Amino acid sequence: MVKLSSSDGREFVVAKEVACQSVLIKNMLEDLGEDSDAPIPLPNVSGPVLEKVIEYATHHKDDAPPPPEDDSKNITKSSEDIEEWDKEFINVDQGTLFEIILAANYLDMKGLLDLGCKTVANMIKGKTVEEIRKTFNIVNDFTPEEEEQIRKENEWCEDR
Amino acid sequence: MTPSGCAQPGAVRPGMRGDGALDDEGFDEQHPTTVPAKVFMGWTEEQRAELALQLLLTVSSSTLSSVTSRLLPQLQRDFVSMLPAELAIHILSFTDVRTLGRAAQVSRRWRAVAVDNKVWKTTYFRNGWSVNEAYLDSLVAARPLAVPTPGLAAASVLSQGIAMSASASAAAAAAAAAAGEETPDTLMPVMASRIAGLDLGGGGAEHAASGAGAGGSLGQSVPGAPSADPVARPSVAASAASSSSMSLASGSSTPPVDIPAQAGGPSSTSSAMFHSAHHPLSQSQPGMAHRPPRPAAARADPGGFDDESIGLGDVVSPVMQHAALAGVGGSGSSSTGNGGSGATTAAAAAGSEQAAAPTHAPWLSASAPTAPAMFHLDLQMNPLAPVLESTPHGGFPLALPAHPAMRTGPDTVTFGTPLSPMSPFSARQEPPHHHQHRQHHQRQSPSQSSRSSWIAATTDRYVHLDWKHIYHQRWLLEKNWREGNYVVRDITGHAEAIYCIQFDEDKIVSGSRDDTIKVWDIKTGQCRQTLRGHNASVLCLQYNQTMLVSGSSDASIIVWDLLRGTVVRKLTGHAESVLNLRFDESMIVSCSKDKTIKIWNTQTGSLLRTLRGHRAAVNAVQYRNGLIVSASGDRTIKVWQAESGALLRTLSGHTRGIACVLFDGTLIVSGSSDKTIKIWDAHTGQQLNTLSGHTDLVRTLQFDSARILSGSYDGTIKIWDTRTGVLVRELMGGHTSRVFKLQFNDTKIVSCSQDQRIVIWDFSHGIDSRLFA
Repeated sequence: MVKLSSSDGREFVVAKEVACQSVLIKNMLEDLGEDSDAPIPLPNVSGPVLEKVIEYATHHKDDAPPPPEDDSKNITKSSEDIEEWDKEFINVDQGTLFEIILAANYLDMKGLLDLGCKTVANMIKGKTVEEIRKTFNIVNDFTPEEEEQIRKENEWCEDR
Repeated sequence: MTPSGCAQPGAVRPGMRGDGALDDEGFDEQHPTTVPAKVFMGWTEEQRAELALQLLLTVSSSTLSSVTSRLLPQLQRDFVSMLPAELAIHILSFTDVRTLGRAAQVSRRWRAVAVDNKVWKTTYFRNGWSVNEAYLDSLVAARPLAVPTPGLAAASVLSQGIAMSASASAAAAAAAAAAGEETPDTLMPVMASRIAGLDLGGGGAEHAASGAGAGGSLGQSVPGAPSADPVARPSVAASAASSSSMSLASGSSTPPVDIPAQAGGPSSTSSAMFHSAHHPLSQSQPGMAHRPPRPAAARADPGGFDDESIGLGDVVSPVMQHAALAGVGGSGSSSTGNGGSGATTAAAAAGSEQAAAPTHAPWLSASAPTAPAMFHLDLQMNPLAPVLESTPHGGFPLALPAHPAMRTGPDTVTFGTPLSPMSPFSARQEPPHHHQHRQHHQRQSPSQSSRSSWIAATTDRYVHLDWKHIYHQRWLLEKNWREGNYVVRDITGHAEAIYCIQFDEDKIVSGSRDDTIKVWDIKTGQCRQTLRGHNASVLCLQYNQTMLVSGSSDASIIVWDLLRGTVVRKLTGHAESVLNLRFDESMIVSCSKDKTIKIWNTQTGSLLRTLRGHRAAVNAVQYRNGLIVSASGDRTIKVWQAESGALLRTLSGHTRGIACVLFDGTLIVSGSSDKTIKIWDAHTGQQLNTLSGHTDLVRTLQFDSARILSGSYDGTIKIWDTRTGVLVRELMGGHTSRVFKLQFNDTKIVSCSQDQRIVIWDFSHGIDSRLFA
């Protein structure tokens, strides 16, 4: 078992195979040896988010390790490609999703990071420019002239 | 709240955000609840929420509504702007072109991410598209500047990069002007002037000068003629006539101008043997006047098949033979009828395609002069200029540092917004001081240094190329395929029907019923070499870098030295015509009208094995991944193990003899005298799809993950969607008789026919085809 300590000082005790879903923690355990029972501090992850992360890692603990990435092609799967359980898991408010993405990145958990990013991608896809702004509370900071120019140069993207 | 918790963006709490101009205005000053709120901070979160809820339930619904509208934005996160750049890029990498086009219009920050090269590179490859790696490598190698260091002022890097592009493009434009040709490169003035505007806008005039100077000194790898003034172009042309390397031009941002499409592609060069005509126009010209007239059928064949290169009738039962003969007769007469209907369809197509023709205009030179002024102004007075620089409309694929605030070095991509020191992507530069003292047992916070950078995949050697530009070029190319915008060019010179061809970027090699093999320059259409050695028709051939192997109706196979044009050896063993062959370094696999498949040692020419099993002529053979796939006039396809010669599987389904077969390692696609194309799973033998549409025997095929191309005795080439099997387009106006063989790559089809012509169907006019394989 491995002890993890969140930014707000909460301690979580999880199975090693669960903790090692995080490449960051896995590397750390390898570096430090396993005798130490001191908690691993995760100062970038709050308690509630760490709880979600552990939930994810527990569900996916038996997954096959991701194949090594082919950097030359870097073929990313489509954002449509999300398992049912994952879809339910990641169905959270924007603030929590935001923190899960940051935590997954920090903890080096590719599966969870991709899940978070795909989810945001799906929130963007199929929306008009104005709908995107509304969804994420974004202020349009273009001048009307700029807006028109940018619309024109991206016109081809719409055509298909 | 711990200091470290505060420091990361993820820990930003609604009440602590400094940007809540809308919802926080006046909050602290006006509302007396601010001070009492501190009293409740000792409560748990749940208790506080409950209290707030209870309080809110006491107010009027209009007040509640206004509170709600102030609360709502607190629940929202602008992921793309607030996350580290790499993560924002990762998010957009999961979207699609349409979304990227819209994302660029959301806000300045979004735009910077939405034009990122990595986003577009990922999107590009997800489409299954390939690139011409040799050409991209040459671009990367010719990249004139050292990778900018983080210490370098971003603006300086920016303008240097642009000045470099400017000089290169001006040179290319000059070269084009010098050559007196109308090529896409004449669009360069657009870019040059845009860049000039940008330099002014960035206040980097001196950098422009120094950059241009550098461009000039690098004239070997990048033609450098420092001129950003389109008006000065003609005079520059004299000094910089280095036409060998041309920069990429992009007309993508140029609004379509309604001018007539010009006959001839950008790279077409006319010679006596090499005709060039824009397809829709040429179709409406009866008979294509520039072509020598010739009889519809070259030679009458006693068996009813005047195509000696396949045998489909051998094993047909007497009843079926009647049917087959009737079919042949019928097809003969219907092909005349076809000619008529084909002509009307062609005319209709020409009409409809003329409407589409002006879409070529942006790439043609005539549209160029309209654009410069506009961009010049825009960029000069546009605060957006630095962002715009990173768009593909700069036209130069070597998009060096993009947004000055965004790129500070080769490996770090950060936004102008201050990311807190604890942000995951800057963590490696930051010693975790603040939490050390509250740790037990000296355990350090995990460091980021050991993690693999699978997000920041900047090691990719093409990452600095302008992938939005490359994507757009590919998109235009695909559009040409989809809409049937192509230029047809002919090569003539063989005295008889042409049975087989193969091409690469340099040449076309063809084999004919006139017993010869000819090597043609694919660009000029000139015949470089004529190989004589067979005593009868050349029915099939394949070549690699050094070696050419051909099969003939004289029953022999000849191995040639391709560079010298000499016979290396002649393989004899087949009893009848050698109908098809494939080879690699170790084996030559040939098939024959004698119903056998023979395997030969490529190096020595010795016969290794003969495969028997087909009950009629073996018309086509494929050899891949240790498997041999053969198709026969006996209506079956057989899969054999090359090593042992064992027959693994027989596929049945076609109702007539099979003329051609393709095997990519997974799928088998076959074309038959039953006028259909069938798609099979090579490993299960299962029939996946049947494509109907040709009105005569399907004689030749090639396919990739996107499309299947088929050539038929009905004189047409058809394009099908590989996944759906839907007929995408029918290409006419190329051949006047049976199509015997075709090959295609990303940008063109080369086909040959009984009409003694080789036709090049070029879909890349106006597009920088060097980018694609």
